[in-house]
Amino acid sequence: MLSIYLSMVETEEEKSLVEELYIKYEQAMYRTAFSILHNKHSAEDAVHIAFVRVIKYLEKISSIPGNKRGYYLIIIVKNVSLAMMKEQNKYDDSKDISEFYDIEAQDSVEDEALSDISLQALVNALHELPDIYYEPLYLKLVLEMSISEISDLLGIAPNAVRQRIYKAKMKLRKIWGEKYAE
Amino acid sequence: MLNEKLINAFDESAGLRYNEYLSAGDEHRFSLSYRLNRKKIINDSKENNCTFKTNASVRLKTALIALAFSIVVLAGFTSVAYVNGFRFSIYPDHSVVEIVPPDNAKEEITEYLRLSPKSGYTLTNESLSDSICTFEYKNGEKIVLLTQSLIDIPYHIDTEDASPQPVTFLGNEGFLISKDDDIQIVWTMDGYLFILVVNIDKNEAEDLFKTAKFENE
Repeated sequence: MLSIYLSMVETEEEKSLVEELYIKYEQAMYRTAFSILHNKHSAEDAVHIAFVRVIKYLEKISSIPGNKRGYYLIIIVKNVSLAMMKEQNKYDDSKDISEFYDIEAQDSVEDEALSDISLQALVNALHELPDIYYEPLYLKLVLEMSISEISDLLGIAPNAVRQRIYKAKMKLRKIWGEKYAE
Repeated sequence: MLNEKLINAFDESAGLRYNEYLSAGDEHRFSLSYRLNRKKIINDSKENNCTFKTNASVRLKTALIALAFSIVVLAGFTSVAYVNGFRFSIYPDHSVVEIVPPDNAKEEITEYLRLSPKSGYTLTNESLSDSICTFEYKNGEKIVLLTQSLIDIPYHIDTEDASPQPVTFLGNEGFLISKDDDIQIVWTMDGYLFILVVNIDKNEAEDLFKTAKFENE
């Protein structure tokens, strides 16, 4: 009986979250990494590095609803994999960090009036955003992470995060204006 | 405040994107080095993330552990063992090994113990971080898995149906666990903890590591 109580304390509060993340998402994370790196050892390394980053922000993931955790983890492992690929000179994202934009000084999408817009139109517009722009925007606006947290999590410079968020908003405006605005 | 409709749209789009990564496929069987890292991460999260321990749970855990030790002592059982200065808290399927950090214990891994290229073994996989590094070497059917880590956290080890034996490895005190066809040798050296998993015998492993050197990369 005693061992049952002990294991309950360990399982509920400390151990189970990380184990649960591994059990639920490890395979999907591996497949994501492998689809980018095409090497099983590198893909395993990417999953490992992603989990190390996840542990660093364990409080954050514990505050994210269960149905959003999978995507959060995929974002991380994908960016880890892309960084590894870049290191191997197979991917060049220099064009993404060639300029600096200060997103704090820009008008933000969320300030716009959205009451008359249909949800499906918004989803469709958002879905057209490339991952590279959508992901930091999602982390910033929906998960309310800071620029430095996103920078740390994605393994890119804070300026690159700012730039991607800015570009995400610009692209979203363009997509909306061209296809969905009446 | 972000418009609720926009948040819903983001969530829905995130769900669609996530589904794209969930294509079915064969389940990947992760390598031994990855599984060791996974175990380490899970254990680290348990031991180090104090923010996850509520005061109530800590108090309850402390009280229960004290009670467990009292019962064990009164009943005459031994739940703790010492081997060459390594303290083992023994559970049915594993032990938690604690080491009193020596004065020279490192706070960050800055150099890595590597086998000589002349050893005949080839590095087939490695994983590096500031706190734990794993190197997998192969020489035909012979496999050497070396983990180098910091000493500051307890180490969980599989001791089910096996008991640790004190050994001296490369002149350092440690312990050895023999299980199935593998042996694990654990020792501390130059402020680091080393865990060696091999499918060769201890003497051959020791001869192999006599020419190993610390390198910066």
